[in-house]
Amino acid sequence: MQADMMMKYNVDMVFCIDATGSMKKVIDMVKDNALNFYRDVVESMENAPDQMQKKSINTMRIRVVIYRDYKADHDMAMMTTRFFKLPEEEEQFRDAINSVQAHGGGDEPEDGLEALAYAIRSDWNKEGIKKRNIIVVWTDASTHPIGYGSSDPAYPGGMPRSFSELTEWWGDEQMESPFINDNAKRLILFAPERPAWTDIVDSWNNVIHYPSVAGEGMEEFTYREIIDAIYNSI
Amino acid sequence: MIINGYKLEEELQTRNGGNCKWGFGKKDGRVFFIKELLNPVYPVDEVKLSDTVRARKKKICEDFQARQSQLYKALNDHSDGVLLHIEDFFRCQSKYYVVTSAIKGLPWDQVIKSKTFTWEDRLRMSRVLIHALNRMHQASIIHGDLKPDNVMMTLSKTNHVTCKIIDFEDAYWTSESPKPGDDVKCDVVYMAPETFRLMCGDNIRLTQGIDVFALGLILYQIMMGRFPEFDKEKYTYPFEVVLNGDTLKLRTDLLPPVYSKIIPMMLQADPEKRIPLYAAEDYLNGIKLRRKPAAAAKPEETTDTLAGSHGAAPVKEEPGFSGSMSTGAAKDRGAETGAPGASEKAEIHRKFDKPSSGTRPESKLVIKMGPRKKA
Repeated sequence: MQADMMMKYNVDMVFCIDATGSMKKVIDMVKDNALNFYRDVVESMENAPDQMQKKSINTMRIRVVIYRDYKADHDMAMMTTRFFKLPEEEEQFRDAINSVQAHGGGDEPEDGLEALAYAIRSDWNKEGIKKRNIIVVWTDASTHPIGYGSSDPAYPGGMPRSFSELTEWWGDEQMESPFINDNAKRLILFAPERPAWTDIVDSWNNVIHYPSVAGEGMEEFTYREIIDAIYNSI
Repeated sequence: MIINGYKLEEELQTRNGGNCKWGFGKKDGRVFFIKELLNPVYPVDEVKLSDTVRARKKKICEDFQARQSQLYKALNDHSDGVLLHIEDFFRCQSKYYVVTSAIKGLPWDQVIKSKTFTWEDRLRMSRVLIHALNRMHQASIIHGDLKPDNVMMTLSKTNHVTCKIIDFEDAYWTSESPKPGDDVKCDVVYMAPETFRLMCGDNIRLTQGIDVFALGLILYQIMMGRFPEFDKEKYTYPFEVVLNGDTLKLRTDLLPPVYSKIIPMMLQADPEKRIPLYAAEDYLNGIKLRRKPAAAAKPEETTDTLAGSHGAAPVKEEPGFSGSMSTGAAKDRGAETGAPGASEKAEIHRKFDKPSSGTRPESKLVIKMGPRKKA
């Protein structure tokens, strides 16, 4: 028997936020909750409806991917942070979030699939017996086909060449993703029922979709949904 | 919105569901509970995927559909009312749906802590639960995620609290143990120690013993109205306690004698040492079957014996509980569940270690887990 037979539960989250002009409310919500997020998750664990079922998280990390439109916003189209460990790096996380401003975007579709590619390729925590790798996307726009902005000098190398290839990056139970654990992964979409979000809902596993309405920010219940998604997945 | 003929009352939601969306829908005048699974997802033609990816995903879905159909059929065939009946299972566009009757459940936490939830109620519910899980096990199925949330408490026609096991989406055949290193889907609070070891990479095979461990924790809560105590400074979950060689602090002195034996045996670290449910149920049926008047029992036979938990011997009344144990529990439970055959057995044995003639050999408490012929 091993010396330390104790559960280690590590949660990594990537917030993918469409930071174009209409998304100000969502960005403000993330800013408002950045400092409370860890505390709210822990509280949901400890104040479960049945006090007999307390659960705990060993580590929680969050990173942020801000995206817009390569053709319209060039080198401001994609901004990412590293993972911040909470609660130790709450201040840095808040500072990073506070630097985000809603602007730009060009036409209606944005480069949300490239943002997802960044998120899937995150440096996920490999340690711990139980892991959750959760990607949360907030947007009120459809997506361009992947590679739409590839002619722009700011477009990164190494992106998937097709939606099918991005689907392979996400993986499934027979073809494990090279980047994200199939059992650990969850994709929570706050996105409209428009391409390519509907394609993702109709072909990727472990996706929870909340259809969003253009121009509306995140309501209280959607914030609770994220907290519950973490609690219910352990 | 209509899904396969079910008219949804509102959008499906994820509240309290880790791996599904759920809601209620009406069909042919009946209201059903509808669950949309997150996994797998059928690649509909509209999605642009390569032929290879599409073919692989279709194969996953076809295998899943065939397997789940067999599993649900086996559960329905083995249920005598104690497993929530699967009414329908189908794919609609890209998603799979499981449909069951819409039953109004009672809030677990409030019920088991209630002073009006009598010893009789607790005994009845425990018996039903053991019987229900045993029915699953007889079908060679492991529930895999047994926890209070998946035990639906309801009121019977006779206005007694009873229960059904629900949520079979993580169930699997005994031949399908997860692989070492897999992230096994289950509630960590009710996780068996060997599940953790398998997740750590130990080359072990999960058996129905994982359900027995979870059931031991649940039965303790039903009986005592609280979770077993353990050193919270050192441990977060019960499996950690037993896996690290410590013990759960079970108040066996406050449990009915038969449960003071059965529950600790369900919570053994070694799954081989846990009591199989057919043996546990045999003992409980023994209680139910006892027909001799209490006065006929010798005093030493009513101590730590089945008769002792029958109500023949004085019963310690736990503070907070009202009422006392009664033979009526067994009677009601048989009527509610249609459980087989109490009257088929002629005689019970009085002591755990000295089975009398007419008792099946597997009724001994010291029994290792192993296959039993299918029902």
